[in-house]
Amino acid sequence: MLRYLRLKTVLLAGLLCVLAACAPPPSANSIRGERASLDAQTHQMRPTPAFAGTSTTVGGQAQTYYFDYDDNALNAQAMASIKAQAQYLLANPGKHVRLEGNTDSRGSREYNIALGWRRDQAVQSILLQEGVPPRQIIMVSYGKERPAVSGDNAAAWAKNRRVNLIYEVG
Amino acid sequence: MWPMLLGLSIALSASLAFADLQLTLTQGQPNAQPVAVVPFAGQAVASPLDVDDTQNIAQIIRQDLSSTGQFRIPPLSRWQAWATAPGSVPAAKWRAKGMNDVVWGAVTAEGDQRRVNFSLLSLYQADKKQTQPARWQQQYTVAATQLRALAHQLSDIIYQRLTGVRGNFSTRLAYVLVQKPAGQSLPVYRLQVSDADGANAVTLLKSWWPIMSPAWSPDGQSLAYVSFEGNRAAVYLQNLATAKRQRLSAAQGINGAPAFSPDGRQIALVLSRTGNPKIYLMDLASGHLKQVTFGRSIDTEPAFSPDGQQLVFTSNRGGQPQIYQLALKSGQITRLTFNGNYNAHAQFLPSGSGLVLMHRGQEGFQIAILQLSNHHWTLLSNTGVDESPSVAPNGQMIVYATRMGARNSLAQVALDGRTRLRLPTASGSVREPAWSPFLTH
Repeated sequence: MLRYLRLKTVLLAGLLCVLAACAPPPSANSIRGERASLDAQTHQMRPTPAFAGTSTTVGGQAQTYYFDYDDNALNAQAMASIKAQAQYLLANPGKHVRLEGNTDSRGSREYNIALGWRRDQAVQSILLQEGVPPRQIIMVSYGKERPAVSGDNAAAWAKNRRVNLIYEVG
Repeated sequence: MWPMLLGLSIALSASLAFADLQLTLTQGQPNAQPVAVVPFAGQAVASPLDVDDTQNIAQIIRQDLSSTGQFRIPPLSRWQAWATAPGSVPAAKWRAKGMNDVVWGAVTAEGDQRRVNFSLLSLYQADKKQTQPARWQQQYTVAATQLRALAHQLSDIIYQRLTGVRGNFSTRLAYVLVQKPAGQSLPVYRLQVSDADGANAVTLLKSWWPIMSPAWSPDGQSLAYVSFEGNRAAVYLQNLATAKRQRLSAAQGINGAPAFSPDGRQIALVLSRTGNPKIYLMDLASGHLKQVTFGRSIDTEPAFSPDGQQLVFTSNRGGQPQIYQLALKSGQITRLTFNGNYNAHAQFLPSGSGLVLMHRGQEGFQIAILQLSNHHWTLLSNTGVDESPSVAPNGQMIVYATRMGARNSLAQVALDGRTRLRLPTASGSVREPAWSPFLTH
């Protein structure tokens, strides 16, 4: 029979060093922590929080397009909205958009990066068809790393399978 | 170096509280070996030296060995009566208490150094026959601050002598910690490295953007990872001792899934520059890129075999994600998984004889082992939301990410499934663990 050992080990040492007396492991394997320079930079460029709806007539504003499970197909409303964004980009060659592909929380992280990328490509292909130059379209996939809604249920999953279209400043 | 480290540390402690990982055994083996670990002289309660539990060698050895599930170690206080002269206790007395082996030692101060004497007494052979007791002893001198590290090394020695297998106690875990600070709408991501037992966590990178896929260099000196700083995916290589990093790849689109070759000279990674996610090999010295998978499928999650001759990877070229193997010399590609319709995140076992991977079965996502010689599958976990397995360098234990309640946390399971541990965090979500190579030589 299996015997269950209840051995609770509370390890107090998981603290970052605050005083010099609390030293890291031997110098041959020491770790230099915390890239401090990053803080200033990242603070200025914080990501924008989640997202707006889908407007079919207004170009130039952030949009979100939703997808079915394991699918890249865009519905008619999304298509109309993307075309409106295309018109805006054609009229404003100095502007560009960032497409952010996302998936729901199921599956491996890196495979979901690729699935999010496929959703970006679906949106990109409509923009390209409308004549938008590729240099005005930037694509990144976040896979399941940046859900809009937390939860392990169909409602949350549906809200996370999306592409965010964002007008980048500068 | 010290003033700089101090400054960084204070800046950090003023911001967020990071999370400890607390290693907790939930299932051990039924035939665990009994080992007596006696409190070390000089480290007993109310001793003038090192009263802090975090440097208590006997305590750490007990925790380390117990965490394998292979040893049953009574509380240190059981041996209090014999703690003043454990070397004088007759073997018959230890045997009468049911012990197979005994560990004891002493710590004395020499300024800010510590001299540690260590003894391991073996009373039984593996076949349970009584044997002439065999005592192995050693002496060490270390800085007072290095007692915990020494304790892990002693655990390694004991484990190797008692099982014939190298211990994991001086290895490390890398992982990603995600926390939502109070009053903030956005989460903060950290790349962290801790000891294998979760202690001594250090933040390597703190970011407003996601961090993914930490991968250890074979010499244990660097970590490659994916970061989305500035809303762009890029692969970085960061040296642990200096915190210096270089950006290895920032092509348009996907830069992902870095994996080192066993000789440390190449990194496999995923790029989408052809319009499809494909696997490339980058020579680290020259930066030269070579595409090694082709076609219109999604190929991702490359992992080298221990002999460096093969890559396994995840691909949907057959319709659904499955594991394929690429022979690097010939270019031949073979499908490896035919069980279920979703297999991903394969890693070779150190022996090269099998893979640990993420498998979608009846219950959802589970960790599984696939033996390559006979295609035999073993399912190791069962919450349905298990992912990101990584194997310990001695091949005995797997760490993976799972969910406890609303948060991700880590768990460990032995390759035979008989020992299980949890590593819950005090706060936040922990994911994407990567077990370091052996770090001591």
